Amino acid sequence: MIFGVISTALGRSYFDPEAAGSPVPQQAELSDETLARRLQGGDVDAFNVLVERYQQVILNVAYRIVGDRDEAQDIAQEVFVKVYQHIAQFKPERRFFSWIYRIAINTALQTRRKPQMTSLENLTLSVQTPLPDELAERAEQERELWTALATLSPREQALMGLRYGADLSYEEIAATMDVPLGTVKTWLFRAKQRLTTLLERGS
Amino acid sequence: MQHPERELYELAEGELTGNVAAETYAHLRTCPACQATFERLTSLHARLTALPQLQPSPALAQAVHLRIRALPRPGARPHWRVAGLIFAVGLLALLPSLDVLLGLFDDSVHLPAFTDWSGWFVWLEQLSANVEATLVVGLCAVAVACILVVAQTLTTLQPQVR
Ligand SMILES: [Zn+2]
Repeated sequence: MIFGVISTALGRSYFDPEAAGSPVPQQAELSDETLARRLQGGDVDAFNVLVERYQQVILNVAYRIVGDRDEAQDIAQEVFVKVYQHIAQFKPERRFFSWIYRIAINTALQTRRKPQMTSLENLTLSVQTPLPDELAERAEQERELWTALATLSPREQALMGLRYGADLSYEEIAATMDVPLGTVKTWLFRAKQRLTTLLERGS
Repeated sequence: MQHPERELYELAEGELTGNVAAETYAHLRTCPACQATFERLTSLHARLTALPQLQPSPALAQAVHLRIRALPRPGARPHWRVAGLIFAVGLLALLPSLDVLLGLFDDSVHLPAFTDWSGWFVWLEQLSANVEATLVVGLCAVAVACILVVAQTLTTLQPQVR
């Protein structure tokens, strides 16, 4: 913080206000890796395109892991700041998505919810009383599912976040978690076994 | 055929194709136990898929932009040259006041006792009588250059992102 102040006072401009607007149209066509390389060279427009491209998936990966909308928002913010701050560490020969998703799951797992902390705010359906029976049942089912997800291990929560929050394929999950494809399948298999058992015990 | 448990999970997620999928379907038709498992798995997959998808609010990107404003732009090289230049200017400015500076360490100068407030006051008055503007400028420039070097060193020493 203080360094930023000092540097700004010395007249270094780190932020181009014009860059905050709509990104240059051509940039939107570029691959993640090209954009990341441009960002490494100081191109803030490229960063804006990456934020635009990834904000929804990162938000939902975080949401699957922490189970709280506001917290997911904070985590997504943190992830993009980390990307900007540490882009020098990204190796362009690797895939960008695996790098950013790994930052996302690590950041989310650090603020991961504790089991039994699932609150009513997590429900999609607003809790008015009395709810029509069918809606009430769906809300109850969703609450059960959040509670079950919260009891998974950090690794399993990360898996569920990548699979259902970002809709990644098994191969993409393997690339992100840096493990063989077979391992991802085994982990997912076990995680789902645990979930089915938990849900059956619950109902 | 044994119950194809793992294949059922993949089938329920729509990730199984080709011969394996055909074989698993063939088994499913004949095995009530697997049919029950498959139904549970399909329902779990549907429930997980049906969890709400959040839409990012414009506030998210705005907050990110606000926060990166205070950060160094990626790829910006530390300004070692600027720091060096300020330091050199500071040293030059200090040259004419060298005698004043050296006088501070002179044996003939006796610093007052720590609790002797009036003594310190007299000492300061004597010092300021000898001080030229260049001394102040020089000391400030050297200090700024030092802060700049420390700040730049710290910002380049970033921990591995996780
Ligand atoms: Zn069977």
